[in-house]
Amino acid sequence: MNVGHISSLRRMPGVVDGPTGSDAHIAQCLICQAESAKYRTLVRALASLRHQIMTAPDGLVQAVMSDLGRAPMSARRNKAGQAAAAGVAVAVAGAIAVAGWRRRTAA
Amino acid sequence: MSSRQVKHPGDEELVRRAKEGDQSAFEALVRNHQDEVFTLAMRLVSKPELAADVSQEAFIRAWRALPKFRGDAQFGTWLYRIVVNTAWTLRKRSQRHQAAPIDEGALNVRDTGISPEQWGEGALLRVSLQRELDQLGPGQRAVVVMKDVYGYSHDEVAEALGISVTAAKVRLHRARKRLRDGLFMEAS
Repeated sequence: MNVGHISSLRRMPGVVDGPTGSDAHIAQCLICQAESAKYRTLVRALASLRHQIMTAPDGLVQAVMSDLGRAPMSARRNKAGQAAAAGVAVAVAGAIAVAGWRRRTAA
Repeated sequence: MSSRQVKHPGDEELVRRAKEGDQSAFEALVRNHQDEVFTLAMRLVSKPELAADVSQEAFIRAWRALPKFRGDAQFGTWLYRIVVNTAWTLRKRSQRHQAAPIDEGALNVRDTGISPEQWGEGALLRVSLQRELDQLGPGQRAVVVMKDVYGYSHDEVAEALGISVTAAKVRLHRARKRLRDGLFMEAS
């Protein structure tokens, strides 16, 4: 394959994206036209795989659902964490306030 | 609409309930999407046991991340991105799973959106193509599956795989060339 063919191949549909098929060489070169046809066939065949759906193995749903317990939702986890932190902050503030009140009472 | 988008009736309502923590709604989403998710995982990893692991882990990650799902894309589209990411991060496990090329007879494959005539014309080619896909390395296979089978953009492929757009394009070019060589060398 000469440099002209290689240069044109890089512009063929299915080989790279971008400007394609405008090369005058392809229009006149049977080798490049054949090559282009192969790539078009390949790309069409790849796209057709999208329509083939495989059946998931039995038990996938059950396996997922049994695992949900170990996978808390992120937002809920954050909310729980924020609530716990707020609770600790309130408790600490209360303890400080009580300790201060006792010191003042003792004095 | 790109080819990767799949919408199941009722998804929006199920997603809304699942986001509130309703596990039965999430279970319905899993049932709706399990075959599509498993198929994508199989295309990416080519090994049934690993694909099942990827599918399970992807659904768990989806459940965790569900509160962040804003509904800008369809649930299926969002879920498939998680599947791709999961397959990519779990790919090292593939060494522990015995390689088993996709046996579509054993896996119960069905065809959607394609006429019997179209199916018959391309059946042999698709069998050969699947065999050639199985021969690709994980990086090239991921790019070609995402771009050419599922219709992702170069940007989306690059982002999902953590590579540059240029690297994604180079991988795609090389993968297509290998597939083309394998397919048409075999035919000639």
